[in-house]
Amino acid sequence: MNKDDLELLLTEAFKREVSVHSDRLEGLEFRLSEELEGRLPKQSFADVIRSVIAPSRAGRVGQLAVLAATAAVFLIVGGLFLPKLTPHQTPQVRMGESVAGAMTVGTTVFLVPAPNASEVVLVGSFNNWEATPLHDEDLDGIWRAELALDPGRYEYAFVVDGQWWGQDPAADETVRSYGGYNSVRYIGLAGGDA
Amino acid sequence: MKITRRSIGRIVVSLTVLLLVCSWVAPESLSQAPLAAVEDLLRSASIPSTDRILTAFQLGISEGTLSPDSALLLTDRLLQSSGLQSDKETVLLTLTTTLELALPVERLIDKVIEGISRRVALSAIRFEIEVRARLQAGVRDVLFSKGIFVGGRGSGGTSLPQDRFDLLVMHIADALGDYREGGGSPLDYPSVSLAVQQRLTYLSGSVIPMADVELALARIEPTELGSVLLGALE
Repeated sequence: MNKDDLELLLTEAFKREVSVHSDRLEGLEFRLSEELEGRLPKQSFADVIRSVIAPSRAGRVGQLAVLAATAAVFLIVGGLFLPKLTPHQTPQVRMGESVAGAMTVGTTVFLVPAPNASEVVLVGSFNNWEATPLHDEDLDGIWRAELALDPGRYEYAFVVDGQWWGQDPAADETVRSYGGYNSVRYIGLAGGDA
Repeated sequence: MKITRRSIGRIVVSLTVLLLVCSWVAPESLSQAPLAAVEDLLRSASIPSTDRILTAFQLGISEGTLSPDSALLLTDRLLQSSGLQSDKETVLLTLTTTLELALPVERLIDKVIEGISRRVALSAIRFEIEVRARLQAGVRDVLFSKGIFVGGRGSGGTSLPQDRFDLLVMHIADALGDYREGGGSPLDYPSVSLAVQQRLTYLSGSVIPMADVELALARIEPTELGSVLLGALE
């Protein structure tokens, strides 16, 4: 018997064998996968958490990359916008002039002449009507405060040595309130300061 | 203990997860803290409608129309102020009703706190708040009657998101309130209208969308504003 005849004989024998047991091959893949699944070691809850937090070296690198990217976004956004939102320059202004739009967004200057006063404070809707002190550092009798205000309408008054004074000439308008006056500033608006 | 790159990586990732969890949980618990303090203040002052007030405050906080800090500040200042207990209750109930009607309370609270800071008699503050609350309800009704609705309510008109609708209600009512406090007559319709027009024009663009200002000014008649003012004073 030569080699070719032997190969033919073996092939036919194999085919016969397969055709005899073909019914047993049906669903073999499903049975195998079920059996293998059953043999897998069961994961504890801690293992699951661990795999989520740090599934692999590649996973950890990915997580760190996401973290770094987030930090970078915060730094870039902060670097771009924070200097505009937190003014640190001291503007030169004339009395009663607002510099909200001229210098930085949201900085409004409040000035009041009170040469003989010992204490001047600002109260308004921007500080829950609690006292924000004004200062007269060069002792010229002009008291001053600078506030960073968001766009909006604000009512306020100066309190000079305990006396309310709500008719600021630099205000956008003046309204009556509880029998007295309040000054009004419109910040960041068409008709207002900024 | 040996510190490896692996352990550092785990610490960093764990801290990030912790931070995310805290940022998710913290706002909720922070908003509860002032409300618990409000409850303590109300109960210690023996305010009869405490439960109703707290429910309304909670509603306002959840809908974003009232900040927890404002609720605490108002309650604290009001209960500490001198005046009749009945006036304090009326102020709180006026704000409660306003919140229940889903109307803005921001300006009303500011007005109460201003009055207390100015040492105005609580009865005068109570009167002012009641008038301004009625003005807001009146303005809202006029907007509805003019086909300006909120959040999809009504049909055949213009529907605005809640926050934009609230801005219109608050500022129109506030302009009317200031006009009244300034001694203006409700029957002087051109002046009433001018006061509202000026306020909305000032705020147009940045605070109130220009389209909403134009919509309100185009649809509301001066006589209707005068009627709202008259109705609030009755």
